[in-house]
Amino acid sequence: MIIALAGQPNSGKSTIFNQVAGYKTVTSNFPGKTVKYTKSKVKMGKEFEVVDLPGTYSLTSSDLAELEARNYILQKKADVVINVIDASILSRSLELTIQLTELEVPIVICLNMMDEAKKKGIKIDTRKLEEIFGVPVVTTVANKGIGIKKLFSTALEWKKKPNCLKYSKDIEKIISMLSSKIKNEPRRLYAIKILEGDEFFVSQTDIDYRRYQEIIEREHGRPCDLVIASERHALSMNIFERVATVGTPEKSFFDLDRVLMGKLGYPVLAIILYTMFYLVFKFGGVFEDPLLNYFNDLASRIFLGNALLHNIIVGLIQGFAGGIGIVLPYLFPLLICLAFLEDTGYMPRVAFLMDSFFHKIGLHGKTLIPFMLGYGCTVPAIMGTRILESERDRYLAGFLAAFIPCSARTSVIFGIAAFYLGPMTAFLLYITNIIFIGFLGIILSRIYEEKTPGLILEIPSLKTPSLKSMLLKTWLRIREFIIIAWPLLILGSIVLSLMEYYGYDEIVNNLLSPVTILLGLPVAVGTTLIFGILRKELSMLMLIQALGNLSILSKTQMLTFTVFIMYYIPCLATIAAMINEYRVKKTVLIVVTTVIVALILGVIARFIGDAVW
Amino acid sequence: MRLDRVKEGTKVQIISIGGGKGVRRRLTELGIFPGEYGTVEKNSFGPILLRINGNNIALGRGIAAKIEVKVE
Repeated sequence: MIIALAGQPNSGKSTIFNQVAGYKTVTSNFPGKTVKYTKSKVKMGKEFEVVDLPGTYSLTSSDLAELEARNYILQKKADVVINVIDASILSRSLELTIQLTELEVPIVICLNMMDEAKKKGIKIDTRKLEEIFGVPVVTTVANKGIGIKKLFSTALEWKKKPNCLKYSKDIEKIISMLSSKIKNEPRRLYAIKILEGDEFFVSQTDIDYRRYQEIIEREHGRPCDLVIASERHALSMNIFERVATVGTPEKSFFDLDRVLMGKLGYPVLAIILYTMFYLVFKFGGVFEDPLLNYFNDLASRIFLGNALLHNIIVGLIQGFAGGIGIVLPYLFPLLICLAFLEDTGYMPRVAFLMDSFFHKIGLHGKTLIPFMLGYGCTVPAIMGTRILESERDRYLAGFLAAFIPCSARTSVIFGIAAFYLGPMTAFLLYITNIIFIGFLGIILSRIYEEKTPGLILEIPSLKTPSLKSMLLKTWLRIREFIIIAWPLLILGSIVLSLMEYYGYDEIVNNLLSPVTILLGLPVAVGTTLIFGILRKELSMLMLIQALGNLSILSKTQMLTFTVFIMYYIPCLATIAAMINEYRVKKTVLIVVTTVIVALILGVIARFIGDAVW
Repeated sequence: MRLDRVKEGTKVQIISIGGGKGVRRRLTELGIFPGEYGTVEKNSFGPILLRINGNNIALGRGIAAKIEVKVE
């Protein structure tokens, strides 16, 4: 038994999924976040599988995510589809519901965010809605866990197809004329989508569809796709009027959006970002020094007769220490802050504020969302570029996002630059990084000249984040570090120990000596740079291990090293994500650029360091 | 009148949507249809904020310029 969750972006699909799946996906508050679908086995009386489909406004194949969701349902992979609806914007949401009924699979409607609807003064007659669509309707408040059990128990039992909703007579006439010529099932769906000019459905048949479109266009004097969309819109407005009454909304005594999205929004944004930076630094700093000292002390006190074993143990301790002492203290507060910004719905507001600025670098405001995610991890940033419409925008956004210091790089910036050179240096590194990205954006948008289609972005209402959801989201991302990266880090640390033991590190270091010498770094740093490609924080931990103690490095060397790490080759996971999104050739171009940029900026850092210190 | 020239706080009726099929589809998905009523919540700097059916949509100035409206 498979239950699929389908719904528009921000309808709370992922929240419902997380409630039953034990938080196996990340939920967030901006359009189109869950691009790849996620699934999980659930036991609730009997065992079944829940699939969280990407959020889609409609089922027309303009968008990759929408296509994925539609194909999934069309291929009858799911036994039941739960259509999750934000009850506070019911009329618009019903347009997707109508399209789902056309797929002719069993549907259960979930009216989510009933509390928000109540605040807006919307009352919904669920019985009437059930009658119209011929499907069960369950009301929920997903973030509080209300109604979830009933939703799934209803879905598990439901096997009937929904009612067929009719458009106006003249359109229905054309639909039935066309569908009598179609062999593919469901015929009605094919007919409607072909009239809409949907490339996928058109390519499946060899009917002269233009003839039918032209009949409609002649009668309505508008493009056929717009006629069908308007029909659907009118139908859902009609249903909305029959099932809902809109009273007076609850008065809120203060409209926060006036501040957040007005002129004051800019200083507020600056304060928020600065506070985030400060919190991460303060929190991480408390733990880094004592933890590292403790483990260094531990490692130095170990004496084993067998030199090989000794090296392995020391490598293991240092790898472990790096994770707990340097990465986690900075990763945790950073991820909490990002989860807060996502869950409140602040991200789309930042996109709104920054749109004009981004236009200057040839992109638009929505790009900021993957960029902000990039401060957490570059992989979701690359995947997040899918919310942009054009391929060129997606590639440029991904190209630039590769240069945003992710949390792994953050731990290097904080662990070395902020810790040894002072927070001001770290702050300046971030500022120059932003300036650099803007500069690169201008260059890239000149190279890939194209008019961006412009911003079309829904601004969902502000929400009070639930602490539980924030913590679970953070935990999920940290778990990724603990399960995947940390063991890798410890393993890398041991491998380095062994390489030292057998003298292999010399070979690698010699090979990389042109780079290290150019940057004015000790030759021993060479090996660590290779490890950094696996995970960026690995290079710093390896550095500690290779040199024994970071304070051997001069201030300039610390700066150069940090700058190089910040910019050179994104980690392996990022490269994999990039190949997935942009194919090999374009990924290689990004990687090569990062190396060149890292070398140039590294040398500049070296000169600046020499001049200052 | 073009939507990008409408003053803040004005109620408007959408008359027509210019531009290609792609833009039209994305706008109609969000409930911006000819004949619908909306309010221009913000129009000073950067994108325009249009409130339509209880829903806020940010539209870049280029997009807004393609939407023809009638001021109520």
